[in-house]
Amino acid sequence: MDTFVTGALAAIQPLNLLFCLLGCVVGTLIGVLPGIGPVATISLLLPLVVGLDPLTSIIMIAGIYYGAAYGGSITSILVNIPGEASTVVTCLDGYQMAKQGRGGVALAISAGGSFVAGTIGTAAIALLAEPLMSVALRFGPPEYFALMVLGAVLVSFMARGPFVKSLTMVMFGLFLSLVGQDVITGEVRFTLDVFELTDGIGLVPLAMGLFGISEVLANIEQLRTKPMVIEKVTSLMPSRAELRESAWPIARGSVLGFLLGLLPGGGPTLASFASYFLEHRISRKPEAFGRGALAGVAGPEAANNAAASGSFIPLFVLGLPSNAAMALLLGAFTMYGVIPGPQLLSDSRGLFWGVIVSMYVGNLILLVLNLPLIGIWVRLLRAPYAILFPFILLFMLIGTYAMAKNTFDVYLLVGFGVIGYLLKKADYELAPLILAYVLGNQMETAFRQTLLIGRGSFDFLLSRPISLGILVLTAAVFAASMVAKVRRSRGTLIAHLEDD
Amino acid sequence: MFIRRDVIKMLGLAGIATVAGTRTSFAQAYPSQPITIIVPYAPGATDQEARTLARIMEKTLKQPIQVENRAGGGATIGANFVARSKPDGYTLLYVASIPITVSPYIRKLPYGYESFRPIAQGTQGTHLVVARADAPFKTLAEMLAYAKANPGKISMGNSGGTGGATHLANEAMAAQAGIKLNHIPFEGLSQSVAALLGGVLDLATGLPISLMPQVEAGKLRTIAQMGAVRSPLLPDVPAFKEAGVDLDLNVSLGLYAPHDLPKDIVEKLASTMKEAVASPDFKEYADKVRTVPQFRGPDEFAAGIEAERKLFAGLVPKLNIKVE
Repeated sequence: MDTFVTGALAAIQPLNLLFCLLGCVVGTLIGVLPGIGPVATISLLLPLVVGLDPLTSIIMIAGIYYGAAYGGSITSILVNIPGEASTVVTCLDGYQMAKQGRGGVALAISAGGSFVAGTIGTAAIALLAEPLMSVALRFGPPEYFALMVLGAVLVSFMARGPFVKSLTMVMFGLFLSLVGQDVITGEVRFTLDVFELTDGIGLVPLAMGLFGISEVLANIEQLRTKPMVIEKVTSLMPSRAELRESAWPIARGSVLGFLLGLLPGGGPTLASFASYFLEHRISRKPEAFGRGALAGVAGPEAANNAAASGSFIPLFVLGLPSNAAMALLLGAFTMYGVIPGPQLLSDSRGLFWGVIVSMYVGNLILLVLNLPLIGIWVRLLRAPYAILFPFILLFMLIGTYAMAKNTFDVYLLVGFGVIGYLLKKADYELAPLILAYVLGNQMETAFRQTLLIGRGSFDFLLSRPISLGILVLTAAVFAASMVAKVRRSRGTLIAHLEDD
Repeated sequence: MFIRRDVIKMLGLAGIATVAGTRTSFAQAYPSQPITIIVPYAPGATDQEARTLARIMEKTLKQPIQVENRAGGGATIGANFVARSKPDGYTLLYVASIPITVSPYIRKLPYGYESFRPIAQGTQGTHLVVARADAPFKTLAEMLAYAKANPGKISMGNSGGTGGATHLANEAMAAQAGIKLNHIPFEGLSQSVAALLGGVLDLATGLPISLMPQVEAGKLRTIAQMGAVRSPLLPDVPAFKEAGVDLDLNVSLGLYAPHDLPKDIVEKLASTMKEAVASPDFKEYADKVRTVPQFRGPDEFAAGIEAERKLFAGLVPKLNIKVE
């Protein structure tokens, strides 16, 4: 308890508060700018902050990391450009809300949801870090595979249009996820001998192209035929009913996101997608998804922030970074001679608590910072599209290049922009494509790892309680969805007959 | 009219001056412009090491040195970038040796082993073999005996997938000791160590910085270090040769340039790096991140790289790796 008080007091010292604020502002900013992510920013700033006190610089680095998740959703909602991989899914409904004039509501719910999730996540780290991690370690390849299968089943029942069309998109997404070097055999697949594709197609050029570029193209086309169709902004702040509507998705997103953030292969991106599946599945109005469903923004936005908090746990408790940003933080810790892991919790508890308390403060700062900005962001949309879209295009092109300084990524961005535009014209939904893409790669790798460990037998997959449990749940979801689908189509059939 | 002609003349003169300027700067002492060091990994340990060295080296060279991460393709994307750049000493590579000594032979790559000129080695890391705490063996000898009695029963994880440094090291160990392991490729060390802690795997290989916290907490057990002799940082862990595995699989991080870099620039960079590696600032950094400064000049470094290439050239055909 003493160490908690020491840590908390250290976190709220003026200098540390200042750096927390600085980290949050920088994080929000790079979140807003597409392509430039927290990893690049932190690695650039790291040499500058090593002179500072360990707690101060770690507070700032952490602030950049979770601040980016806040900022990334702003462009997703306003202009359909995912600022970060973890906010790709927010485009699906957030942008539709903005088009309906509810952009302010979407932004407010996203900020509020992120705050709630950050609070829950921070509290969970403080209270449950060690027991939770021992549960998370039970997640080996078989469990990942089972989880991905559950996701795939949820995706396949998500489509609104003809089943064949959405199945085509799922297959296309799975195919895209196969491009690049296979982890298991080391073979390079489907790259057409393009060396730059060795690492596969990045989620950001893919999503930015499919959503962002294609949207710009579609809007330009509309500009020629009819004026821009953004409806009048109704209100900036959510109504009481909207708050109530988003409360449960935020709560579910926080818990789910935090748990997925704990997994060594998880993190904010996976968490946001998982929450979207979940909300769609249990929603009473699943048909509203993709057309501006509030739950489709509230859930994923809470989930990616909770996962950002959750991903600190493997680092703090085990010393294992679950993504590149955490690897950098590990680097920062070691520069100070503090090795994260079991020793951090025993020897440097003051530092540990200092970081935790600062994360809570940081979430508060982000909320206070973001709510007043909503009005300004929404006003931006009133700018004539003819002025807005060249800037949007420019930022996407620069951002994509800046990500890996790879010109080929820019070609990919433009290529997928055109593909996305054509698919939209032909009434294909883009959501199943991107969802299948995210699941595909991990599902395949986990499946083959499972078979390798089990030496080709499925016993290993089925003998572990967690993987078996998830697979049984998947079967139940599949059966229930089939029954519902059959019943619905029978219902429409009967309705048809009665009409005739 | 006169004015215009004057301006044109002046521009022309300025142009000649620029050309002349470039020429003289070419003959001028290197370096006359900022240097970029490419680190072909995502930000983490290697780029921090390169940044620390760069900060010290730029004081001697009197030119800024920028360190840039270009990750992807198991370090081959960044390596290719340097292989294709001008051999003028302004684009360099700081990397572990496997992407140069092995990757070109097992994958179709736009560059080859000969595309690079080794300048100098900076540090030496040690791969560590660890087992889960409740594994049915405690030492390397016991592990080898167990593996011989139960061929293919030990599941060993590697990080970075098939053809990566730890996979090659594991295969080399298995081939040398005449045992059969069940290899499970993982995307990264975090995933394989998590699987080891979760009891899905029996063995894993990685660098001490990620493994020692678990070892010290009693959750993992060290089996061996893959070097020929014990690293000063791991005095209690037996080295491969002590247990009869005749291999030296240390990880050397060093500076490379495109192959045709003039010899005088190689020498200049190597001598600057020698000072940097020996400096107290670098020693302080290395102590903190638990790595061993180990300078090797151009000739010695190139010989070490060549020895490694030969070792794997002999091993790869025998290993369980598909060669494209």
